[in-house]
Amino acid sequence: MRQLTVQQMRGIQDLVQTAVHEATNALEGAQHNVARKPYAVMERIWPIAHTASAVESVQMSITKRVYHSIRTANTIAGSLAALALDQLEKRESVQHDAGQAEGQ
Amino acid sequence: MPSQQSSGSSSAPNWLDSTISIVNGALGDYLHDRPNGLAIDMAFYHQNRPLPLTRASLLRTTPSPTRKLCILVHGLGGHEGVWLYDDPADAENSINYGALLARDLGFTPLYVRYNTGVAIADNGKRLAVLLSALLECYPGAVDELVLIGHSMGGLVLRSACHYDARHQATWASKVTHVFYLGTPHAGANLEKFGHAATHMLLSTPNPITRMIGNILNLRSQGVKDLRAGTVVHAHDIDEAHDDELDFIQDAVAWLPNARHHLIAGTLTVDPQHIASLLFGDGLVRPPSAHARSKHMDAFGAHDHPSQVYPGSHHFRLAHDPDIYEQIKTTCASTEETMRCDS
Repeated sequence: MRQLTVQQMRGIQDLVQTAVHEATNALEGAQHNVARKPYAVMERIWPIAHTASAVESVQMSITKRVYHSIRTANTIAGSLAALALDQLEKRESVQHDAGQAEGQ
Repeated sequence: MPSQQSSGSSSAPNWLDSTISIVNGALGDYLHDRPNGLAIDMAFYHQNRPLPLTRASLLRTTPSPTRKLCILVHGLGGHEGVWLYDDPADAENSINYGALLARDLGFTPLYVRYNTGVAIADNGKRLAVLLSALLECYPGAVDELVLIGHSMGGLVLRSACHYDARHQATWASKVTHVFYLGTPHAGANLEKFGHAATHMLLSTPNPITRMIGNILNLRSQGVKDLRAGTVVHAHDIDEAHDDELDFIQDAVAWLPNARHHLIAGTLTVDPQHIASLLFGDGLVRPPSAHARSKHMDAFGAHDHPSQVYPGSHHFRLAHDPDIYEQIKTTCASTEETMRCDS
């Protein structure tokens, strides 16, 4: 049965990493836009405007950190996968060379 | 004996190849531009491997090359495995139109695999180049070319014929028959719906619907081209036709020296059943498969023979014994005519 080539495995790694990155960005943007709406209303009511603004900045900062950590974890996982694939490629190359030497 | 492909062997495409082909269909233009190792390069495939276009490799896979070639082009998200079906004469074996044409009429079949997510016009250009390269290294003379395209494959064939005819290359002049099986010449309803849904979601002033719209909009250019059956790039159109851009893009002239056979299917045995009228073969309605539109009629689409196979759904069109009988009869009659002429 045919197996994936290292090149195809790299393709999957790249595709998954990009998908997670783009999905995180899209979700962050959507969540930011949705969360912004109630604060925008509250910031117009002067007795609570100051408090609302403070709460919003705390919430936005936490949200930003959560998404940032997801992106960082994704980058680390991608780099580790790329390293593993490099090792696999080296091993395959050594086996290929050994096979050729035996043939000669 | 010309090359054959059988599902019974380990060399037939497996679920991994199917998954990669589906990913190519959905995101192929992204994979190609990146470039990504999952992107499929267009090539003739033999026993699940790309066939190097050299005289030696062609002789290895086709020890007795004949003067008649049959080129089979699959549809969106597919591969050459779509052509396989159980041999009526031997249930243990799988067979396909190409192998049967080889057995019955002495054709040499070749199966194309390609990245179906790339624009149809780009695939058409690549196929034109690939066929030119094939004829250059083919071990022997070629008298006749028969092209069979399933679904999007038919559009790729039309595009290839258009680009080849423009550059006056040699292979297009050898084409005698082109069979279009469930090809959405006038567009596919599912993509029309997808386009409308995306447009609606993107124009709704809500971040969630916009996000869903953006995700839907990630679908490949190949899929988007199915909306109108676009077979050429706008920038390739002659300046004289600039005012009729949409008109020309989905209705280029048909290759004049070939007979074009437009084959459609329906979901139900009764073609007048409401399900068949609404959904055709499930993905393509007969009027689109028969190129029935005012644009197409201007290029003489109504002159081409068209058939409906009731009860044959979209994917069955690529492996229906009745359709093979029609292909065989048509090709055999040409052979008879050529023999009489000579």
